[in-house]
Amino acid sequence: MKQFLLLIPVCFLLLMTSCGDDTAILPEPEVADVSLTFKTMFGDNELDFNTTVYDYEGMEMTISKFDFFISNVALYKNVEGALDPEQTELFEIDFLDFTQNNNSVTIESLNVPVGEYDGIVFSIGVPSDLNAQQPGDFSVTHPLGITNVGHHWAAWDSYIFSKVEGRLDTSGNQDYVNFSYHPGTDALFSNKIEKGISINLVAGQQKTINFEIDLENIFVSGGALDIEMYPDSHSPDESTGAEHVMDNFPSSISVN
Amino acid sequence: MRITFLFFLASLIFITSCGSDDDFVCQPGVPGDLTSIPYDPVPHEVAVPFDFPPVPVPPNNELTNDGVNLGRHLFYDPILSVDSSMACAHCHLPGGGFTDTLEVSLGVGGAVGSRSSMTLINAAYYLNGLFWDGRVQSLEDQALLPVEDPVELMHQWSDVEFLLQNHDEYPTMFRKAFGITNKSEISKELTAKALAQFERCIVSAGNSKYDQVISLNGFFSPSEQNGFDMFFDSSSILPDAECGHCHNAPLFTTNEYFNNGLDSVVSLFDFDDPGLGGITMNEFDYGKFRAPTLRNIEFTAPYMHDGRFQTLEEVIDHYNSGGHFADNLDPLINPLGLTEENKADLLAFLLTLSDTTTLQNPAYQNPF
Ligand code: HEC
Ligand code: HEC
Repeated sequence: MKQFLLLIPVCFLLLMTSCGDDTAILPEPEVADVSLTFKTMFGDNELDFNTTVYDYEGMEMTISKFDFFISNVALYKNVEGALDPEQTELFEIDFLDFTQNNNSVTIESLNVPVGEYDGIVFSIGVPSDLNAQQPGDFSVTHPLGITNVGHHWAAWDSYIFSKVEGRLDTSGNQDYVNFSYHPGTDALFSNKIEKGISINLVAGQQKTINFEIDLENIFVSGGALDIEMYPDSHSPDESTGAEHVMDNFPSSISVN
Repeated sequence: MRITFLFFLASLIFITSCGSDDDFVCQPGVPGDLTSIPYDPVPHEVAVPFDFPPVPVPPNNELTNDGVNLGRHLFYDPILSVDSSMACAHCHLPGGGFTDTLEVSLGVGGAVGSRSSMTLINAAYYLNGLFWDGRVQSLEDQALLPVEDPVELMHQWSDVEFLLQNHDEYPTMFRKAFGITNKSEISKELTAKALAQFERCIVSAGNSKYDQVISLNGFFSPSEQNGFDMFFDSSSILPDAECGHCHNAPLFTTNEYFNNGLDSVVSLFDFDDPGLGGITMNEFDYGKFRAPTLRNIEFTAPYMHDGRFQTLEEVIDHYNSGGHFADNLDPLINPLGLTEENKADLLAFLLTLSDTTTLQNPAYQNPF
């Protein structure tokens, strides 16, 4: 009898907890926890800001700043018979600041549906719809918001997609040429960059995708940029350096 | 005996359980009780120029009319200084663009500080560290510091709390601002919160000539237009002055830290004032300071963290020279090649950032 009495509240409790949320009947899509890590290299070595002197065409080079926007990041699956692969968007845009983060940036906790993917696709820069907006249009902490206003250039009506800054000693006797490349404007927004890599996402498991950006390759690919001749590129009519940097991003990024 | 003890205990529980309960009327006569004063917080709206985002406010210190009003009183009240001689406003005067217009600030009794006062205009948006060296992160944390700083207000917080708790008006104002139930709850933290609320309201009015032109309600003179083009590197004919990279619109600062070439040093550890390096201990941060806003720059002379330049002409000459070399001199600081006419045009543009309606806004003035 006593046992029976005890059962009543237990049943009641069960009843209460089981009701309430009837949407829970639908199964949650199974997701994996994906992180992206980014690291800058200079040739074979990890980039070291300010102190390490690199050889650049026989001159001494130091790097003081490197950052860029990455946008329209998605995983893709090739579909048999279809022209375009099927895409799963990861995020619209983020800002990767290597200078402030000891050359290592991580984007964490992306919940991505499980499955076998064939690669990752992204662009460098700010897509035109977002680029048409101003820092004041975003919340203060958004990558395009006022806290990052140093990457907006009102005179071009554009965000600055990347900053590459440093110094070249042209003679070895402290004959310094300061350089700073600040590409922007819709015309320089990178095309889709596709990196094929098989990514198998398993429910509940953590997966890290590693990006390496070779800054030396950004300078030298397709013929070394003449830094002395084109030390900066802040206005649209002196875009040699800016175009060089944007042209070389795709071949300078590897993913594993 | 036991019964009396229980009775005592019960009455204790009874007493402590009230107070926080809104519709329970406590016995009158509790010392310092403020619950008879109504607490009806009304959100405080801050108008901002069209190209600014809404004022960012931390969730634990929403702006209310009574909070802002309390902050304004505290900001102008010398009660915060040890000898009741000076208030925050002493070094942050509206007429001086919210600075004291001295090279370096003078605290209580004439104590000489080591840095120049900073404007408070648009401080709500300075989210990359406050002070010239970025050593505090929020206006709430900042407001705790001047009271005990020996070259500022030189007081003790415990004494200030005592004075505020026993003041004729402040307990009522703290009640209305924060809903405290007893005078004894007046604390340095709430004082700092109120000051921060007031400071967040000090936002550009958006009436400078620059603002009018940019919102298509006015035109630059040819000289101002040339200055604008050089400031933002937007002309292929005029030289680039590069200013906008570090003092970008709409705040006219990016809130980043740079070495803009004020001093030559052999080793980066040799700067008289280590700036950001003194906080991060990172060699390449020594001698870097936060680029301040140039809005209302006309009124905040002298210039730089140590007030070394008396006029904007001197500032422009400094940048035109390419500055002094140090290993972390910013790559954007180079000889600019500006002619006398270019320099005059750049100055004319800087003066379009003046907005006396911000400085004269009645809501920012001394309430006493
Ligand atoms: C004796 C003069 C003096 C007094 C009094 C004073 N300040 Fe300041 N204030 C300064 C100076 C000097 C600086 C810059 C100090 C530094 O960078 O180390 C400063 C910086 C600030 C800043 C940082 C602004 C920015 O853009 O980073 C804020 C905010 C501020 N003060 C608020 C206050 C408040 C609130 C009070 C009163 C509680 C106050 N000050 C009292 C001189 C003063
Ligand atoms: C590389 C970044 C950079 C560039 C480019 C730059 N500034 Fe600055 N500016 C700063 C920094 C950092 C400070 C504060 C330095 C200090 O006090 O140690 C400053 C301070 C100032 C001040 C003094 C502000 C005050 O409240 O005392 C003025 C005025 C100024 N700059 C105007 C200009 C003008 C005009 C130009 C273009 C000719 C320019 N700046 C270019 C970084 C820069």
